[in-house]
Amino acid sequence: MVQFLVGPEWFYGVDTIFEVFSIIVCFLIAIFAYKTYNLTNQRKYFYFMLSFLLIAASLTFKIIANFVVFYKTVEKSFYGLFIVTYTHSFDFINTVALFLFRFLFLIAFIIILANILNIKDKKIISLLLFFSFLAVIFSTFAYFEFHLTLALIVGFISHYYFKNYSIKKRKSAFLVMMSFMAIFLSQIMFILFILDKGFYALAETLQLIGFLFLLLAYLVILKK
Amino acid sequence: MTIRRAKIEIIYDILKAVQDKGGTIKPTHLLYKSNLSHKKMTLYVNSLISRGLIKINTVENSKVFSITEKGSKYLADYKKIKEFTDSFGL
Repeated sequence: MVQFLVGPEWFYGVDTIFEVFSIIVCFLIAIFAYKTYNLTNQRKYFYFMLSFLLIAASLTFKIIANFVVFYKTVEKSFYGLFIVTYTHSFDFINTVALFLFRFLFLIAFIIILANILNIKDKKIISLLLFFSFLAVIFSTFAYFEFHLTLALIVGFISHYYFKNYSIKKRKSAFLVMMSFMAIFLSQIMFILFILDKGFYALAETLQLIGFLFLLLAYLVILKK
Repeated sequence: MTIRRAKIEIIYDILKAVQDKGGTIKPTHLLYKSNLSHKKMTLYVNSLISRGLIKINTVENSKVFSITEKGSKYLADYKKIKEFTDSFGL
């Protein structure tokens, strides 16, 4: 079964607020990408919209998985010293929600990478998706493999946006670069979670900063 | 060194040329203004017609291209689209 590793207890619920904020940002960008696709009819905007919708969907599943853990904790503290036996349906919801979160999150970033690097070969994209699927399903260390794979993908995306900013020199390009760098760092922090639970809170905060930068980039674009 | 125009820039140039001529332009004028080969311009014009950004009209027995409402919206939103495309490296 997929094991959900959670952060410090004082952080329960806070991460959900962060996730809701990120979902709103993703929807704003997806709507803008859709409008652009509607006007230009270029597929790259459609794929961009799709990737941000997938991020929003995956974060929704993360909230569901978080909620199950949060509910268990509240129930545990309510019953005090009594041992509470949880129903299998809760574990099932947690497992499915967590799988969907990881899988959709990976797919979303793979689509972004394929889109910006102009990878059109479906065989290569299928292979990437297949290995991602393996990483989140069959691995014994699914948690670490997921964040390690994601760190690698977001690392490549960050490198691309660094080069993009070096050429374009735009404020919005800088903000986009910073957002993906923050998301990349957040994945490293998620990996370091094994050392201390506090890294989870740091990782979530960095991820939030990443989406905050995306929102700022979006606002700069809208001002034009 | 010449920099290759992106598709969204070519579309902008075509639509801008139509708008600058009062919303209607003759094919020969458009060919001159868009700075494209005849073959490329035909491809772009057909694509813009199919997407509803421009339409063909007949004025005094000659064919002209007119900008549509959707085409005008593209021009109005162009700066945002360009900024979005450039900042996200699309």
